[in-house]
Amino acid sequence: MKRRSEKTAFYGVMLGLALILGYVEFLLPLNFGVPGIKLGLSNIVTVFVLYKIGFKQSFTLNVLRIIISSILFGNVFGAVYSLCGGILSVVSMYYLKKTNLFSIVGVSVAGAVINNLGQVVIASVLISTVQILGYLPFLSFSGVIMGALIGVLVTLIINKLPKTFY
Amino acid sequence: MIKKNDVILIAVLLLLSLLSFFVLRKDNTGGKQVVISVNNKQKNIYSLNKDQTVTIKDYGENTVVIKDGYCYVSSADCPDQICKNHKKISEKKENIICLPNRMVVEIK
Repeated sequence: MKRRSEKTAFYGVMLGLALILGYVEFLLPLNFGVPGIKLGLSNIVTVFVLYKIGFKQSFTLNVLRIIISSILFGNVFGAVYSLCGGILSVVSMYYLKKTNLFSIVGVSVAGAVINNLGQVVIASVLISTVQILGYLPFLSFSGVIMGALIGVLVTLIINKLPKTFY
Repeated sequence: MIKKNDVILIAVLLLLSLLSFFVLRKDNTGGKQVVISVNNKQKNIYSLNKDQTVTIKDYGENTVVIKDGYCYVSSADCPDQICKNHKKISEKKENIICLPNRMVVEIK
């Protein structure tokens, strides 16, 4: 069993990693001309922590990451949308993982799509329904692609890491 | 690494996004108008055929330009500038959305 200080330090590193990945995304220009498509690189950490450590830690780190990065990168309004998507995403990934029906890739894909879905839902509640739905096809498509990529990455990472890593 | 269920899931999701793309496509029935709404409440309607510039100042500030049958956002004070970088719109159902300033500009 790890000492508390070791755990705290480890979580801190994970949070820092997630924030750096968010910053890398922030530096990259709008990818495909469709607004709102993000790479979701920080979710590499989210999925990794979910599988390596547990739901509570993954959830907490994700929420913290969203709040802090929205303050750091100047989009505080955007935090509401990201939080909604992020929370829904981690919770559904946890339950999907529990069913044992899918691999990390499948869970990650579902998490990515639900993340975007959550953002679309709260945006349509706050602003306007019909027009926002127009983004759904693009967002769910990119969610599948990025979710799969992140799922593959996390699988590779977990396989390469020594068993004694955490 | 990849299970059969993953493939099924991905196929279903891709199919759904393709379907929703066709369902939400644009239509063309003449006489286009630019409708600007803030916080889900319609503010004003402008004709797409008349060149004009409109400034919306409800939450933040956005400047919407209508010119040569196109509509775009020329300036905005939101942090992400997605509305400003959006390409010009001119067809029905096309829209430009500024999430931080809760503004929707749509062609109807």
